[in-house]
Amino acid sequence: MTTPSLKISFRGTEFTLTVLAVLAFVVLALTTHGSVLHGDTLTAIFQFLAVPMVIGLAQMAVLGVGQMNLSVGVVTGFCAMVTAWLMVDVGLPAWLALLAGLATGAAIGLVNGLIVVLTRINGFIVTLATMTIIDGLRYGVHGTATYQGYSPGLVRLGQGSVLGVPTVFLFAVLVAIAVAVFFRHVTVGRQLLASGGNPLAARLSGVSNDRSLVLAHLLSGLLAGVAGVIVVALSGSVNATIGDDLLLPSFAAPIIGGVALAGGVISVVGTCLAALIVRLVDVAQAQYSINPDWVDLIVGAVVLGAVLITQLRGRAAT
Amino acid sequence: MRTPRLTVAVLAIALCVVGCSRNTVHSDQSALSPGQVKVALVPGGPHPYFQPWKTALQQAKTDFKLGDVTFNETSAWNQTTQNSVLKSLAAQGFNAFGVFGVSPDTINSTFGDLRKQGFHLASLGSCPAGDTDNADFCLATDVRQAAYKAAKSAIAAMGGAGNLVHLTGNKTDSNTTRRIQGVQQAIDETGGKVKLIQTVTDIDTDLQTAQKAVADLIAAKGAQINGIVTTAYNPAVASAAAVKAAGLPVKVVAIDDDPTILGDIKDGSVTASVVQNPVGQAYIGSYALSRLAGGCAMKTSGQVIDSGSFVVTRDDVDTYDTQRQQETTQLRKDFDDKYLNCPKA
Amino acid sequence: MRRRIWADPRLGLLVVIVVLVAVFTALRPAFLDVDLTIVPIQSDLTVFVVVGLAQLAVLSLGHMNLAVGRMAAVSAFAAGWAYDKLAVPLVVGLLIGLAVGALVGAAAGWTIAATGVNSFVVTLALDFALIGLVSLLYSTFSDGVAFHVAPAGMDILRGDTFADYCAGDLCGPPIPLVVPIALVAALAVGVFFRNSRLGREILMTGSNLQAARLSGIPTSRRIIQAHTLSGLLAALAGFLLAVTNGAFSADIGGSFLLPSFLGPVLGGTLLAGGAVSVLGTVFGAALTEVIQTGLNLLQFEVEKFKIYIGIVLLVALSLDRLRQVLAERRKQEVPRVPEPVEQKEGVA
Repeated sequence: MTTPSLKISFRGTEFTLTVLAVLAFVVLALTTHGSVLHGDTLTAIFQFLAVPMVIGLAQMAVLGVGQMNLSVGVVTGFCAMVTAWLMVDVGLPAWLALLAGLATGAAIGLVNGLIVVLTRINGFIVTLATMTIIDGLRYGVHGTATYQGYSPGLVRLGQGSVLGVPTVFLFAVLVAIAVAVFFRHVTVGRQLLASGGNPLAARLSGVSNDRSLVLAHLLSGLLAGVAGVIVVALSGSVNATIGDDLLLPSFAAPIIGGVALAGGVISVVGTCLAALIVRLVDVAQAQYSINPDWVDLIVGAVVLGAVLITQLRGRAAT
Repeated sequence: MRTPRLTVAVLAIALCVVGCSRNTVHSDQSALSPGQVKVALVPGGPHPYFQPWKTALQQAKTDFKLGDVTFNETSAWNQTTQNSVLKSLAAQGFNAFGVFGVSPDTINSTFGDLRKQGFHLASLGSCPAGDTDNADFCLATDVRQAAYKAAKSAIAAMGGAGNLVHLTGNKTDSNTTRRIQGVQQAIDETGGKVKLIQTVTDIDTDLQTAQKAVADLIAAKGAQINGIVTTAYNPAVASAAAVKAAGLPVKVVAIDDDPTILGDIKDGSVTASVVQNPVGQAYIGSYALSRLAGGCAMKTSGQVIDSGSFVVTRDDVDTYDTQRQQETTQLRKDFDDKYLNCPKA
Repeated sequence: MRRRIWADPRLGLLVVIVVLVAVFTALRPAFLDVDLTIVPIQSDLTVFVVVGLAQLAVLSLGHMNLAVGRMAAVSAFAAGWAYDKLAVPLVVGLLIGLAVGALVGAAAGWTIAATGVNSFVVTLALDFALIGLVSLLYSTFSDGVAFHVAPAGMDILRGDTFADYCAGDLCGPPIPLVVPIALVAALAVGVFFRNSRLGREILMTGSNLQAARLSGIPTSRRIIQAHTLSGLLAALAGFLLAVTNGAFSADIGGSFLLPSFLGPVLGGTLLAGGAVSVLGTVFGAALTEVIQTGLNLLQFEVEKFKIYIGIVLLVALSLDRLRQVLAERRKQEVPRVPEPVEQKEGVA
């Protein structure tokens, strides 16, 4: 493992993703006669970027220790349902319900981490099992029905903007910065990556690998909880289907963003940029009125093409 | 260890090739008293549409004195899982099934299997694809017809001209194909006055996906869109909320009558909804199954029976249920008079 | 030697399965109902074992195949199309399907080998492209999203068990006719990775790409070959599902992704590559099938059903883990080693 050269190539990935995102934006703007540059469109793009970004970071946190978390999607949905339930059926004020939603996510993450450490069962299997359990709980909150009309103030805040930037997106950016700071400057965050990169070396230098595992899962659960409360604030209606489409995107963002499945290497910026690129694909779909039969074919081709370019460029850089 | 077993297997196969004959099993269906009839209703998965089935089934149990009833929504929209759920219920003693098949293309084989084993089957809420139905009968709204009606009322609300968008579910489901055809038919009938500017599929599995798709759509084409017809639940909830929030004069037409959608009709964010008859399907379906188990037979096996659908607007949102109950009563009469052939008692 | 056997994770899985079967049978005697439980379990298992093997084929490299379901779908389309338009016999359609699957798998493998892009990303993009392609193909070549075809023999393969065939009074066991197909596939994959030079070289490529390359293994070719095998097995799984479902439809493979990982990973195959366990995959798939059927028989409401399925899985595996820890403690001469190292390059 030659760390320096890896670093350069990942900087390369981030750079290429930036170029790609800008390029995609320019192409979209030119081909739709500036339609994507309208305020409403930009708002829509960034509002619905918040959840994919945060959920990508949630997956990235466990990828950092070489684990996976299959439960991120359903935890997001469950936290959203719990938050809505606390507001509608229990009558808690919005801020308290939001905190409870975050705590729920963190608690589930903690449980995931503890099970992984205590039983030594592969994290993939553990989170698959907890995924089915939480899927049941998520449905148990309110059956198939939809919660609507909770806390108009919260929804106004969630759908509002600060200086033209959607609040939920700003919030997601703050979360991303916090995650980046955690992994770069906080000791336990760096130890976490050390455990992921080389468990043996980490143990020899006094890092508790078990603690890193628990912490990574805890962080992942907490971030899924953050995604859940973003959904509640942004959408104004939630039901038990929330989170069902999040599992693959949660992996796609970090992996396209240059995070290694083996652990030890993360990229907050790459993950967020990859989420943006995936989001632009959605937008293109609506802008161009693509025939539904063609949509997936084109999305697949575009993603593959983007990755190929990134890779070839990355190679040229090293 | 492995070699002798392999040899035995090879020998057995060889022996079979030489001297085997194929057995065919015939099941006998003896008449059951209502108390012996155990009805299981198995929808494709958890969905608001099926929630009325629960109470209707309990009602049927008391009214028709059925032995046992159960409602099982663990199929999780997966045909393999649904098959295993059905067989497990059969193993537990249930002998009559009302099924909303996950996959209209393959449910017929499941029906065929179960009927061969002597069970009574109703296809409820959606009929198998193709011309044949291996269930005893299909009691459902014509999916295509419901979508057609929804598109028609959207077009009417738009004043007969303009641009329409269709939002729906999983495109590999042939029910989605039927819905797309129904909407297209309504559009074709306007002779070009209404244009279908986009059909968006695969946005029903996650409410957030539907919200995202609707937001993108309104951002991209909000000014051009005059009407949105939704033939799936999540897109309906998402469109109603988005149109309300954006304050656009877009007419939204939905399908079914989940409380959220009824609320949206009352506050005007949904113009109309095409409401089907899930209660009738579950209640009359159970009734007919108990009659079949009691010795009756369908005059035409695999008969398709329309369970009725109604366009509900703000004006009749409080009264449509009475009309629907009448339809249900009529359905029962029709089964007795037209569809069933019963031995004289 | 004895201790090694007790430390074998596959034995643990087998014990867990046996215990669960006993518990479910005690709670619901219908668990042993031949026509309604035993036979359907085997049919479903046939499909999921092959799906698991399809994933295992690339897990051997430390790769993933997220397009496993769509490869199945596209091959099922090819087979269905051949039956519908060319009226080919059952076996020919199967071969066409397998060829298409292998080809798509090879394409994925080639892309990964040639560009060095992560297999996850390549197969994810391929998955999107294929699902679009499949629905396009069906809407172009069929009048809906399925071929309703019944080539000679398909119904027999679908519905019959060996119990339907008798020589005099002696009938076969209640095993569906499709089961041997999965058995042959499992055996072939097992032999491939254990005994063939090609298989062993694929495993070496998976365990350490650099070392494999340095020792003269053409790693790019091995990567392509492993993905081809994955595509081939995915096609077989798609065919088997089409046969058990009775139609070649666009939604085939839609629910393959998670089960494809579940079987191998439960069975002790590592996501990191370099080691596979075919027998473990069979047991892993069997475990999930037993839990699913047992809980179906207990008739829970949907939320409880899901909660219990997760809990049973966790509890069963934790107990198995406990057994393993005890087994490890017994052989004191060996200090506790992290499991991955112990299993590297191991094949069953």
